[in-house]
Amino acid sequence: MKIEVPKIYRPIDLGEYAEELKGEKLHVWVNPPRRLLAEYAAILKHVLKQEPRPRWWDRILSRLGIIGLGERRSLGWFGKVWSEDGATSIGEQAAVSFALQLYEADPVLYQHLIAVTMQLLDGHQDTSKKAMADAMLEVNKTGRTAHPQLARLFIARTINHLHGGPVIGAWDIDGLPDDWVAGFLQYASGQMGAAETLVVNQILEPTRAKWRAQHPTYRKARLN
Amino acid sequence: MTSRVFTKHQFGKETTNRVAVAADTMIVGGIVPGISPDRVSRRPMENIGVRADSYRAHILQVFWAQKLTLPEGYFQILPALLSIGLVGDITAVEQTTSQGDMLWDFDPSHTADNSLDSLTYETGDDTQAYEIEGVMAESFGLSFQVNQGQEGSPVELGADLFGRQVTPTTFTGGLSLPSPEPINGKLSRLYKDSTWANAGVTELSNILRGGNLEILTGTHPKFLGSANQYFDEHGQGPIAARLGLTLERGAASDAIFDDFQAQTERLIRLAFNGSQIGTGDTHNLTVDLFGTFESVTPLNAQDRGNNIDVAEFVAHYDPTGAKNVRVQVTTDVSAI
Repeated sequence: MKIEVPKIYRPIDLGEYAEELKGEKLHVWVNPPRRLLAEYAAILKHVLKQEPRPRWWDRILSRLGIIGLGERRSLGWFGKVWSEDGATSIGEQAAVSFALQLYEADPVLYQHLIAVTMQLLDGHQDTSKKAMADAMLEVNKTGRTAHPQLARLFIARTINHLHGGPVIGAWDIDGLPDDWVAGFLQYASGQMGAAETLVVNQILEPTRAKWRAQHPTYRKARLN
Repeated sequence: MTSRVFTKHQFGKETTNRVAVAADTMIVGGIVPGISPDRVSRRPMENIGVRADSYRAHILQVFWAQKLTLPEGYFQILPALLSIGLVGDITAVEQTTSQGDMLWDFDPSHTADNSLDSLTYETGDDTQAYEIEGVMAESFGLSFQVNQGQEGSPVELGADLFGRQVTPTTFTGGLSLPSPEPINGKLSRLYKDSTWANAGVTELSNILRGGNLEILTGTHPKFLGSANQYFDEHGQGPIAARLGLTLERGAASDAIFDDFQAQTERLIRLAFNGSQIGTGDTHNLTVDLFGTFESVTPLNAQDRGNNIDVAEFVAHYDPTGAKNVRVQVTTDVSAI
């Protein structure tokens, strides 16, 4: 099964922070891969483990344009998900420079940007019913999805299909090594057309399930 | 620790339903499924004046049910799977003298008894084998996608089995491996006609990309008051069938959409051919369904830039042909 997951960017309108900045926008890549999210989690873990430093020391360092390794990595990470044009990331170096400059010029705006970025990332992970409905529609129309839960579900279905039986649930997908998932998808894409598989599963199955349930004898002797 | 490689499953056709026999045929084409528990431990909820719900457990009834899935389906297994669900006691008829091309005609009666067969199923590994007697099929199904590349297009077979009970036993030894002829989804053919007499006349060529057949056989266990915890008899309720089709969009699939809107009754044939048996007929699986299209979704998806239509055909009883479904199998197996 071939699923193409596009990069999804959502804008941060700086006008929400201050009227004077209306029209200025920064875009956030809200569906980064698990690898990138894990990288941020590791950075955060590292920063939190560090001994807190006096505030005056931080102020001196920032005015000198010097930041610690943890902070540099953290800001650099945001450079991977921030974009000016909603298509390409600004990069680690540019993000560090931008953040240092902003931290000096307007530290509140800096904190606002970080907070909204995290909200967008978290909000995208939080799947609403509408998002699911939209994603299903997208699958039916295009055979593709960027919905994180739906994508995990399809990957699980693919793996189960390849194994000839249920071996994994959608909630287990994140625990699989990336190269395994890629391998399964690559194999499946050569074995079957994504569209056909989706069609049978998404369109016919609900009706089939109802049909089976209404049959007077089928599986009626089983507990489940 | 027991190695997975020593796992296997096999069966024998019972002379008398539900009386165990030794296995004589190995099953291949897929992994052996885990053995479903055949009994439910009941722990009655009781108020006994302590901070616990129950203090005893027991078994009142035994029943085994399990899905058998063969991702790499083959023709030789079909007579067994169909005879324990759709029609039993079939005498296969050789089509070409001395060539062993046996035709199994599963043409179920919708009014009389279908003399269903049953199997004794042996499964397990070199640590322990288990035997289930009285195995029958509640459903029979197949699904396939015609692969758009170098990979093959195997046809997956499935059956919902049920049986009396799981008994530890020893495998019947010395069974030889079968010589399976694979059912190939790429060699699938689709026909659309109007009557049983014309079944298979009008082929819809260059259209079929996948299919999903499901037959609910109506076969079910009957638990009646008796000396035993397992079921006593079997019955057969309504036979129902559906065929899902994924179709390359074109004039033929558009005509199917017209059939759907008008609810025009059709005789749909799905057939698979294999290699030739000797100098006789080829291995073959032919499924005929009479009914109408329940739904057709044009432009439902696209694959590699081609539009895909989806159709669901539902079988219903045809008073003229006196049936809704018929399955014919030609293979080199003369007896189950």
